[in-house]
Amino acid sequence: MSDMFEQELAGRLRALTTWEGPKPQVWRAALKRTGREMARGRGGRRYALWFWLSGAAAVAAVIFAIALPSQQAARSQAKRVKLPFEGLASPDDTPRELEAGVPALSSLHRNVSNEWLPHSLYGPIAGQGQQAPGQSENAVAALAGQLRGERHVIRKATMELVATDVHTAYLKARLLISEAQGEYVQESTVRGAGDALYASLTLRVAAARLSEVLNALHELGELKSENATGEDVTAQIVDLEARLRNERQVETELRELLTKREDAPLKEILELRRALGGVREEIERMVAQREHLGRLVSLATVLVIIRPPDATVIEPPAGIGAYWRDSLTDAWTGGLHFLVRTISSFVAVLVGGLVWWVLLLVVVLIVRGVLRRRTVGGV
Amino acid sequence: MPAERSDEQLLADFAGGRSAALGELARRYERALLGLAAGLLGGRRELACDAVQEAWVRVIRFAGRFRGESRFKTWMYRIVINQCRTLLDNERALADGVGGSPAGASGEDCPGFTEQSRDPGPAPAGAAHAAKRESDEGETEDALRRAVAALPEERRAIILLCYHEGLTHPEAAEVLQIPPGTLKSRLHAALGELRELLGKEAPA
Repeated sequence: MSDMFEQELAGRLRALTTWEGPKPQVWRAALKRTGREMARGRGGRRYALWFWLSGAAAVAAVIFAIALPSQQAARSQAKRVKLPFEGLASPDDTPRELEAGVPALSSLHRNVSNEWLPHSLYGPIAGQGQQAPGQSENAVAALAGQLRGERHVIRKATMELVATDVHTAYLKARLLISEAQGEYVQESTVRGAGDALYASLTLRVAAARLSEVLNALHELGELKSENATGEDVTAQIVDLEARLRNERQVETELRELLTKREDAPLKEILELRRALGGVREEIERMVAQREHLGRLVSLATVLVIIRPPDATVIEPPAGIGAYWRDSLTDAWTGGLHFLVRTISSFVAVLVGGLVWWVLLLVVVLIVRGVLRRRTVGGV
Repeated sequence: MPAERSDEQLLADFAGGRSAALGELARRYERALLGLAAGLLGGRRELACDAVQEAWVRVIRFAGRFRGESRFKTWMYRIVINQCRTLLDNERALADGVGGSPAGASGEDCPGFTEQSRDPGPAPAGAAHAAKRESDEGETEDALRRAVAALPEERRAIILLCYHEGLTHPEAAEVLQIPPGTLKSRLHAALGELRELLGKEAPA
């Protein structure tokens, strides 16, 4: 009985879990449903992938846009002013630098005039004039001269002006000369055109008017640099004058001797004449030197350089060989610079975007981990 | 004649893009799974279809991630059981919220049960005995469903799995992830309880 009950129970239980009738093919419905979901998911994943890639690309582009212009700005287009005058110092140089110069400045001075002498501080403005070493006798003579009120100083000045209208400033500078006082323009040069016009003048102005001329030049433009020097040559002049007096005295004595000894032997007369000639020659030389110094002292020399505000590089015309060489050099240098800029830009993008790419990778891994953590069938 | 591919091979084929492989798996197991689901859900066929469909959805989604730690058959049955459990939990929660006993707990209001076990049309005069017999059988089956539904969830699953035509006892143990010895002892206990429940309703 119990076995029959068990068997009947087993049969009925089995019947409870038996599907009667046709199968509803629910697996097809599931496939269709998951097919749509997976298509959406794939599209969503594609969308997410494109979103992240676009985001990473946008971030990299922003970093690139920031990094590259800053590099380019550092290599600014404003180039160093290269004056068309060889070796001239930059307007930013201080007067002392100008003075140190640039050998080219000295050479320019030499080109302008051969009368430049070693520098010393400008006496009345910068301080006391410095005495040359080892010239105690001359110092005495100079002192004597100063005491007598005679002081001989060779004055010179160099000035750099920036003017919007270089040509007008140049013309005005020429008008400052007073020919009645023996002043003149020793040298003038105008080079370039338009915004690249440069001008330079070497003015010889009366020493007494030097300050006045310098002040007038200040008004022609913006003063960029100025250098004024003065060398006290009083001692030299006094010495010259003393030696000249001596030589003249010797000449006079020799003439008197020659007159008194007309009946002297010929040999003596010739010797006297020879000595007299030598003295005369020395006198002439010293007179010339004295006059030269006198001219330097009486007329100060002013070198004025006038340039436009934002000067661009003007290459002076050079020979074809130099031009060809310079062009090749510029092309090679430019190519190298471009290569460096390109490489640095790539590096900026890679390195700058690396952080974001790492973050993106971390996010993707986290999302995948979350998705994978779904248990199958609830188990 | 090509050798029949195993369930795991078919699953791998489906993961590789062959939809027909899923059809073969459905041909092998869908009817049995529907029957089990119907039994777990008190004979409600529509719910059983939903549960099995949901199970197929999960198989499709995670086909590529099947690690082969268990057999596909037991894996599939496990999914179906969990889906049925989820449906019953949702139903119970909904009934608790609305008030009243969850529908279909006794199987009386179950459309599936009605469809399966009740005869709406009038019986011909010559089949009165047959109708009475069917009615008696229906009442017996109804009583059995009520008794099974009254069992605790774990024992109910054990009984239905062990008496399910598509599973052997070792496979049932594998589905439930318990040792076969444990399954045997629990089955014995479940049958005893079921007998008690049936004894209250069974004719003397």
